Amino acid sequence: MLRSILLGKYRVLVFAVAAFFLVNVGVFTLNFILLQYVDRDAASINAGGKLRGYSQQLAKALLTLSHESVAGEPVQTSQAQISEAYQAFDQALAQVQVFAAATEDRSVIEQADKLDRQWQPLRDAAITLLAGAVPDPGAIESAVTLSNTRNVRLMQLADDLTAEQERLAADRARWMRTLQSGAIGAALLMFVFIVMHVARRLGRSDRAAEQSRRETTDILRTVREGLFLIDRNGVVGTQRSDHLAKVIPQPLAAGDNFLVTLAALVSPDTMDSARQYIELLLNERVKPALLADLNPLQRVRLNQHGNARPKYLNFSFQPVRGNAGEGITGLLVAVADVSQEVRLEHELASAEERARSEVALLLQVLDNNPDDVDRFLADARAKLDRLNTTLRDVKPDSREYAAVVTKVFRDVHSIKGEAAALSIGTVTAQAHRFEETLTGLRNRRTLAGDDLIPVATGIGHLLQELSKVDTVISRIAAFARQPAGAGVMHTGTPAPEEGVLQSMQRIQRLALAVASDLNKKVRVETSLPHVGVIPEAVHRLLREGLPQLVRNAVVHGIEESDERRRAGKHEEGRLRIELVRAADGSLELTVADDGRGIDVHALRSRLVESGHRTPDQVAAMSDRDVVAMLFEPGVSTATTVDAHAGRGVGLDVVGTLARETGARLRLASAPSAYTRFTLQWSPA
Amino acid sequence: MKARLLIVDDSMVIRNLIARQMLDERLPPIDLVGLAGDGEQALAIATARKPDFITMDLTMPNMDGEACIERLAKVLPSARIMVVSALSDKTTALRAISKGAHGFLHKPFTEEQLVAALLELMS
Repeated sequence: MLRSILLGKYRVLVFAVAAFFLVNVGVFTLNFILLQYVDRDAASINAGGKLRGYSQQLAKALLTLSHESVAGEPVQTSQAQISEAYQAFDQALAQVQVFAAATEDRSVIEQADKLDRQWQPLRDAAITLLAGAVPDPGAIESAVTLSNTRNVRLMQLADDLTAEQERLAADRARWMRTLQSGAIGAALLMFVFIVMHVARRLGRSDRAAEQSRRETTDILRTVREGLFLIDRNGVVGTQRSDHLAKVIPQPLAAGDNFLVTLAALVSPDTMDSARQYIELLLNERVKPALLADLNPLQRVRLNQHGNARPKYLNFSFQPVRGNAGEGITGLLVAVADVSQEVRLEHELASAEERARSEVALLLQVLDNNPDDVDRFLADARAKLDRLNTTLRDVKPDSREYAAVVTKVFRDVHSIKGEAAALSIGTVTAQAHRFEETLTGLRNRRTLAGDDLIPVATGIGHLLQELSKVDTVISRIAAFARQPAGAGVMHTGTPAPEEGVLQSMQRIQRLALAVASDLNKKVRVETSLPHVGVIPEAVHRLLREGLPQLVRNAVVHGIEESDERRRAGKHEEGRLRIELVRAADGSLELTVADDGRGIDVHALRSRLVESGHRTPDQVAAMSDRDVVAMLFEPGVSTATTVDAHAGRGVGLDVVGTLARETGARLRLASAPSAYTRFTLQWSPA
Repeated sequence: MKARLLIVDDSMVIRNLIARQMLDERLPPIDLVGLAGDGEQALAIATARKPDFITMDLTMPNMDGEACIERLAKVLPSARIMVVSALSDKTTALRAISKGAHGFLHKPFTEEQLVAALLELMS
């Protein structure tokens, strides 16, 4: 700490202040020393002045003694005065000599010595007069004479000495003044330097602070995103970009909790994810890369009332690290309104999807292993067929409904995953849309029967998408077999068309896949004697109707191995598909199985139970009319011997296709023996 | 020593897709110790054969991926688990990570993404 102050940005200041104090201390010390000199000088000058007085005093006492001696008067008083005067002179002289030596000034020392030399004879003469009670008149006379001659000289010398000393004192005082003025000047300079330095430093840091404040404000005012910081508890910081208020419909002030505000903006599910996500972001141990794709607030749709245009926001989060060792202290949140982008993307995506031709689908399918695709299609169909059955048989109870929705969701989710894995985008998208519908239903507390209608529709749509893939595959197969340069198919050759051949092979695979899925054994026989050119109408039926007939035959006609054995049949069911051209040019498609057949009696009961016909109406109908009802849309088709299977899927579709392509549709069946569908097209 | 891997997914197609990628030369030698179609199977295989790495689907019958990760954290804490899931499952994926998953790969994935994710998991 101390080291950082001494060597850091305050270094100059610290040195300046230290120097300032040193100078001040020096001046005070000097002053103190010089003041002692002044005292000594004064004492010395004083002593010099006294010498003059004592010399005078001695001269006067000698004259008085001389008078008293002549007049024969007592001389003791004069003697005492002489003694006092010479001793006082001695003392003052000694003092002066000490001071003179201390000055080390030659001229002063000489003056003092001269004074001493002048004094000594007079002093000796004076001492002689004090030896007896009555001094010798001759000695008195000589002492007076000596005093008269020396007194003036002594006074002169004392004056000179005093003048010398005063000169010295004056010199010293001048020197002291100069020194003090200099020191005070230096101290003042330092003080000014310190003040200016501090002021400059403060100014610089103020300017820097002001600039960064201004830049921050500029950034926050200009940036086209909502920017703010939250701490680890989600509390919003003081700095927020101006744009934030425009992006978030809810006011978000400093000190607010972001999570509380967010909860009002997004769905509870998203909110749960968001909490989890933010918690993981703040967790030092979780790698940020792991979370990169999992931001639930990416393009999040806001809760809105009424029919306002949907608003989408994009929240992105960056962990903020404090000083070293402090770890993650909070998050920088950037929020942008991406409604327009999302809208455009949705529009683009739906346009793309509309425009996505079978060629695109074809390319997607071509990318995969054919076995994978076949397997996927067969599995997906089987799943959806089973779901249809479940849906039909569900008991009217909210909990049962919920269980069905969950089951459908799981299967659809799995179909979506597989379709995505195989890059079959159309199916993925359809499954995804369906999944969203199902998610809506799963979030409901209670479900009514009507709620299952979109489920049934969704299954239908998904089946349709799967059929499209089928169509594409058959076309790929057709092209694969088309010899180069052979041109279009309408060449009038009598051989069966390659496209038809491919369709048959595909149908065969489908039948086997469905059978294996249901644990049944089936042998598929196809027969395609020279059919020649096939009109598009028949192609369409082969494409869209034949898979339904075949699946029906395998799912509902052909029994499981055990049942077949019990009925005395070969455990392997037989399915025959035949396309022939009669001599009159008409085309005939037959799909026949040796399964359990159609129980007309049971079908009659079913028509009554399902409310399609009254018992009287049914009684009035011929067997033929009753069976024809199978092809009517909307008639529940759980009419076979085994109601568990339910002949559910798509016979109405076949009926419709037959009408639309101008085919005559016939159905022949015998219980426990066979079912045969025949479609016949007259020559064009 | 070969890295021991267990693949958990209720879809056979996805299991095969991942398994087929094991031979990619960018990956270290991998010993496939098993394929599981649900969480219960996964737990049984993991307990018996102690894989080092696990790829884990989330939406599965019987025991879902999240529950399985939670159990594995107790039974086989040394295993590094990579969640393989669709992005529509964000909540579940986040929960799985907070319960101890070490990696995340979203479906659909390309071969490149799968290899990169496995390399990251094994690093």
